[in-house]
Amino acid sequence: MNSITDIDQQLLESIRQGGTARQAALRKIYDDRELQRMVIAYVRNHRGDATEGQDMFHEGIIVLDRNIREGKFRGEAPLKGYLYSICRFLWMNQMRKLSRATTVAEVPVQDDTDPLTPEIQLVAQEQKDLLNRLLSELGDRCRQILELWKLSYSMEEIADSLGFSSADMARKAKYRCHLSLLEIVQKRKMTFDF
Amino acid sequence: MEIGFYIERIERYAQGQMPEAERADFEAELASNAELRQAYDLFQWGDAAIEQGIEQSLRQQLQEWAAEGTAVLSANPPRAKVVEMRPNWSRWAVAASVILLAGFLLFRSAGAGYTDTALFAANYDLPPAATIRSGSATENFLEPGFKAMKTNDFQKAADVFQGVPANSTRYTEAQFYLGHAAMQLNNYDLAITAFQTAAQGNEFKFTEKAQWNLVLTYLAASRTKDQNFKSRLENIIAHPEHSYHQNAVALQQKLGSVFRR
Repeated sequence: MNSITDIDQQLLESIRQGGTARQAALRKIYDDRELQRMVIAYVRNHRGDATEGQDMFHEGIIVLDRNIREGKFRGEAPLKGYLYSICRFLWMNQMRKLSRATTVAEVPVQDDTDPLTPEIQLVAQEQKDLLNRLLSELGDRCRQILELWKLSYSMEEIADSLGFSSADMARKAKYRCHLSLLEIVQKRKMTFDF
Repeated sequence: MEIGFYIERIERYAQGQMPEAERADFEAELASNAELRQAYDLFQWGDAAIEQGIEQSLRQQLQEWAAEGTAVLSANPPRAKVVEMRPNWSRWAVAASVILLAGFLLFRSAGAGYTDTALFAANYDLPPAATIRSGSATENFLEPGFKAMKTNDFQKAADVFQGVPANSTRYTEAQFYLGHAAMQLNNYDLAITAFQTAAQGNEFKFTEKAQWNLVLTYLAASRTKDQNFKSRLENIIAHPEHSYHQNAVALQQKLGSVFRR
């Protein structure tokens, strides 16, 4: 198997670093037209269309981003191959949900010996719905602050981006927003299996 | 509980910013301090919500990048070569016949997706195994029912859930999963009763799902003429904030479609 390239390593580091470096790295990955064409071709060859292929490419990047930030992917394989593997897995799962496979034999089998088998946590829709409700109660401004904080933007960058007068003001706003979020969760008294 | 008291420490712990000794102390306190554990649990919830937001923001960003690409293509449309063709009336007649036949076959095949069975299959989801809460049998008496659901032993699951008394704190939950088990057994009357009970219960987590699954049960039973089906579907449509509002609107459109047989 090809080893990870220097460019791949840089992209990984940028995503792990967060902030504007992550943004630039994701754009570079997105601009890989060849990979996007491969994903679309795969989906079209398995009962999908071009739009669905592009959706899978987008969802694959979302999963890739999270897996890198959470340390689930550390460059064990080339980035392109790993992302392609994610997209294939997502489409297989989508096919199963949409019942596009009319027989069991038509559902492509994920090869467990494949070292590129991605670790994908398919969060159930109901869990996503619950989390979305928390976010909508929190409000857009607090949500933006917390997202930028989680993505390791500095307080100076957050202050610049969101119009705070200083990094200190941004820091205080972040604390207040975080507290609000946790109070919302507490109020809802939700139970959730991690 | 005063969450603010704990938030800063939990954040430092979660982000790996504590020195080893402090981390060990924190973990020991986590094991013995129920309030700290509760605060940590809330923190993890909040973290999951923020991640959800990041995901949505990235999805929107990717769509914007895709739209940029489309805009570039639109600004520079590829030029088509114009080819002149001589008219041939017999060819037109054959083409028209083919189109008519194709349209007829398409109409028939499209109609297949609008039957009660097809609409039900397109909308129904058995709760995936990963979301079914589990635990030891001593702390979770619904566990045998959940295990049965995971192995598709729906009769056993139904028996377990039906055995939960009405004064149990998990009665609503039991009724919700009873509805699903009954649905799998094609026992639609039982499923309707169970989902109705779950929808009226006091566990918000199950209310809207039970309401939607109640509608789907009528659909599965081909009882779309039933006034209860219509009123339940209309009730969801009347509430845009309902989790299944869009699903209900889409279902109603398909029920009124010309393709319905």
